[in-house]
Amino acid sequence: MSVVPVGAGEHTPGPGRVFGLHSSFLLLVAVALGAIGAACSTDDVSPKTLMDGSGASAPPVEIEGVSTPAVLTKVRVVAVAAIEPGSLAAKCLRGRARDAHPTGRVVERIGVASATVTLRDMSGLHGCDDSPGRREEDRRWCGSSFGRLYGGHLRDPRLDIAGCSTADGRPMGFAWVEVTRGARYLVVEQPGYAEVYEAAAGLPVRISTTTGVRVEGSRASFDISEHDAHGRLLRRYQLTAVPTG
Amino acid sequence: MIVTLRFLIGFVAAFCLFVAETASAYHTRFVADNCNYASPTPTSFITRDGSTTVALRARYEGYQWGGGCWNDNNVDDSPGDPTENPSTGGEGGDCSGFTFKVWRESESTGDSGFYQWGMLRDVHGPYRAEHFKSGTGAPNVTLSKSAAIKMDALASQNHVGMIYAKNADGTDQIIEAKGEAYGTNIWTRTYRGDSSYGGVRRTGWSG
Repeated sequence: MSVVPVGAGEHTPGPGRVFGLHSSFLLLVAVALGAIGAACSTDDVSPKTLMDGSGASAPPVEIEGVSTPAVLTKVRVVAVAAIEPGSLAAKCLRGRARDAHPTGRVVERIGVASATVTLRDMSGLHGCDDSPGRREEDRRWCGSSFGRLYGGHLRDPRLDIAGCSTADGRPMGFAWVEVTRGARYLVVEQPGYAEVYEAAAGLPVRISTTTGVRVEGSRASFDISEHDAHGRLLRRYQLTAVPTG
Repeated sequence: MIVTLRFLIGFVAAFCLFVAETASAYHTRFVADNCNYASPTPTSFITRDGSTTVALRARYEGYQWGGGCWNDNNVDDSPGDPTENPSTGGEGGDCSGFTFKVWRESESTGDSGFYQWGMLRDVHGPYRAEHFKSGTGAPNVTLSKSAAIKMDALASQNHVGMIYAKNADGTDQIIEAKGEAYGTNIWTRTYRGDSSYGGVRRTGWSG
């Protein structure tokens, strides 16, 4: 803005004046474009809402090493005996996970473009996935997963890339991640923002990606970092997974 | 003397570790040494007999969790891979990868077209057993088990196998990638009478 008076103050007669006006005009345009560019680069383009329509919020601590705006996903832990009718957990247990006999606690998560349920029974880990995109036959859940546990751990992340999609039809990928001991937050890089998941109930965290799916090659990649309760970075890695079994 | 003994023990231990690592690594070279990423050949139609032929080429070959590449030498070229580890790079498909390839499906779930994949093309496809069970993907539909015929599949949450032939006693001969310890073969199964299994059909057969 401070440059404008300089250009406006030029009064060169004749051809020079034309040149002067032209250059001032160009200068103004350049300044305007620069201002717009600057505004664009500092605009917060992070999502303002989560998939259930509730407002997106920032995590309670600063997440070290994450440069894009961080969006905290919602997590709800409920005891199996206290599952309410109509809840995500109840719908999952009536639907894709109807053969499960859950024990302990169930974890419901709402992300920017995802909703998931994770539960455990004697046979292993069960999950239901939801996304904003269309799905076949108007199914309640776009995906579901089951993973056997060996010594309490999964052997692969049970990637699902077959049924879920974004609102504009891009395939989404869902996977379970077992967080490192001491990790409280798990962060997945998304385009323009970082999605923050809080570890809960000792169960693997069901994460999603809206851009990491590679249809050709049938795989998905997740750029992940894990952080302690104070947001300190514990580790950063890329998880690449394929559907299995 | 003691120092020499310690050195010898250390040397022997290191040598054993090296041999063990080399031996275990041997079983993980199949994909790296043999498989490719060639594009599939689109085909205008497929028949159940044609898919049977595709399936039989994998008979007696190996099993690889998350895999989809095999040759046709009737030997599991990577026996003893760790189970349920998608990174071991062994020969064979897993149950869903095998079905995907035999049914000649697309990696795009919205595409119900037919694609001929080479045996040595390492591809698993986007589906797991539970996707087949629920009829996920444009080419796949559920159907009653009583209606399932040759080269339809019977799928559960954890496994999928294709019907090679029906037995008179109500059981089926199933061609399937069964597990690391078993490889890919035909076995008599009672999936049709198992409530955890459902029927699945690849749509679009020409005959």
